Amino acid sequence: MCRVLAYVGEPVDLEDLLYRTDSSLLHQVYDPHLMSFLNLAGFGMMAWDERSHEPSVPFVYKTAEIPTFDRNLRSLSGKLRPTSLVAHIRGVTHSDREVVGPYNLHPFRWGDAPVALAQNGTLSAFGTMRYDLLPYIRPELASQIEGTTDTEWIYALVLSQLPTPAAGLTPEDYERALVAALELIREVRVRRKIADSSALNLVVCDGRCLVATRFTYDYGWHKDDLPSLAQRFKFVSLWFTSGSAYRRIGDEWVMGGGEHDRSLLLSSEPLTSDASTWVEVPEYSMLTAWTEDRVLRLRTRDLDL
Amino acid sequence: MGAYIEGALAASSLFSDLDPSELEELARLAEPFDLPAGDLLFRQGDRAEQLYVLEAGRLDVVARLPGDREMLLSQVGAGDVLGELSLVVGGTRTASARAVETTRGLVIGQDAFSRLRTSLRPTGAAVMRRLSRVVCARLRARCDTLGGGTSPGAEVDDPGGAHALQADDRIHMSRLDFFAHFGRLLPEVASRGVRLDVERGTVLVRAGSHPDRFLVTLRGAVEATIELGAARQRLRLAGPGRAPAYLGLLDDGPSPVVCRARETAHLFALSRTDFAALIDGHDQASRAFVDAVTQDLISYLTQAERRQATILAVRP
Repeated sequence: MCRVLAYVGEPVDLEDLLYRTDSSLLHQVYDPHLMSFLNLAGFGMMAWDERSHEPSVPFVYKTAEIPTFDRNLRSLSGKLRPTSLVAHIRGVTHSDREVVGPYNLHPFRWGDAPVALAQNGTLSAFGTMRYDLLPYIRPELASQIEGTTDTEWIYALVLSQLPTPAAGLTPEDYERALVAALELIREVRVRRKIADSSALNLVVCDGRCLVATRFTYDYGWHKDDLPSLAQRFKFVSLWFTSGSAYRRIGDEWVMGGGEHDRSLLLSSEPLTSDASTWVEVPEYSMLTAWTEDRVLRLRTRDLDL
Repeated sequence: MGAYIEGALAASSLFSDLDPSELEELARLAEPFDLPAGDLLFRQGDRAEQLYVLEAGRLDVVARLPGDREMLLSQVGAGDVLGELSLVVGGTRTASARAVETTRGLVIGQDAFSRLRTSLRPTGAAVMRRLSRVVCARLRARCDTLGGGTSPGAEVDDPGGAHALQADDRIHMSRLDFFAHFGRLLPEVASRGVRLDVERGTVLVRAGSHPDRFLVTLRGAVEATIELGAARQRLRLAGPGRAPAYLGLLDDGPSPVVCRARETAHLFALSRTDFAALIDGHDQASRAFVDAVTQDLISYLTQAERRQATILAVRP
């Protein structure tokens, strides 16, 4: 459930990523290729453009409606060529117990917080463990939680692990904060004896770098041994492609080649049916990407948590 | 022409076990092909509809990488069979094949191969058994490329006692990919094994050793890693319905990987003897088992190739 998309690099046509490829992000609302699910609980995006007024502050667009029918989004996407992006379509179980609304849309970014966060995954039994996270969240951040999602709490937890003041943060700062947050969540799960498989593919982005996890607690354990047939014991996916720039070359959408990679596209699943130029983020790992003098820097590390 | 085609099939790595009547039957369905140097035999992403038996020449098998790069997976030549894995698991080609020099061989269509594979005659099973060993050899070659070693690494931990499989275990097994097509044969296969319960971090297979049992994850996960000093490169994450270790069981060499429980896990375990008996047997349970092993091995090889692609994509 949910699909996430992130980008850092050369200016890219937002409309290409959201609409034009045959498995674009908005296509994944109703026809994702790596899951069998309708993601109908809304859309959110934060897009940074180095050339814009106050480049550290992103363009923000969110809607709790099904984004496929949103003409404003289509119009807006045709005008933006961001250099960094996090976008998310929210998928929840099709039940009247779910809360679909504006306060539950990803990505989250509060006030002048340096970083935004989106998630593909879910913490099992979150209702049981939620308030156990409070001791690890700074009070001024806890008071900003408005919605019902586990993601917003995780965002508060990650922000609370960042150095203060939050200026001049480095990719290493974000990596440490994410690792610390994952470790704290594990502690609480152990204390509460929660041992169900819970995927936590997190993406944080500050407009200059992005850090993502492909991680699952207690992978392979389901309390009733009956995960949905659609899931079939799969490790929630996360893919990336990198190169000079993302564009249509001939009859395919690819990252172009060149002496240096300059751009990275990260997505729950490839944006094209032909996934031959996409590679998987390894399970239980963290990927960090940023640019220096328009050259992409990229690393992955194992998360042995 | 018929005898020529039969000869080419008999010399191939996959069909050498067929008896003369089956070779003759398969030869009727094969068509010759010629490919000039530089031309593509098939392209990554194409629908998989044929397999190829090579008589002469040489091909590079390559996979695309991000940024308009590619990764050489292997070179193949006379006697090799190409394109058969995609026919087994269905879908699209996971690599491209390009002629390095003028190449000729035989093309066999999907229907003919499927009929052979699912045939109730002994040779259907023989082809699948041979295919499992072909895939095993490719997997070992992939491990070698990634630096897999046979020097003794971490010692095997004692996983503790084995348990008899419970009724809910068997129900659970029937939902897992490895066992999903056993049907009424599952109780017979399951009765030959036990359940091992292991804690996270338990070492189950040591690099440089020959595994003493065949394992399939029931719950949790086991990872197969190549260990280079302090660094570990995960080759496979075997979640529910997947096996972490084939090398050293299905072939003669030692295991180049360490298998370690990544999560607390329940494992279906078959002794080495029982595994061999199922692999080499001729009854229906054996056929189902060989089919399951082959499909899982193909997924293992795919995972390993993807891992190598990721390593190359994250270049310094």
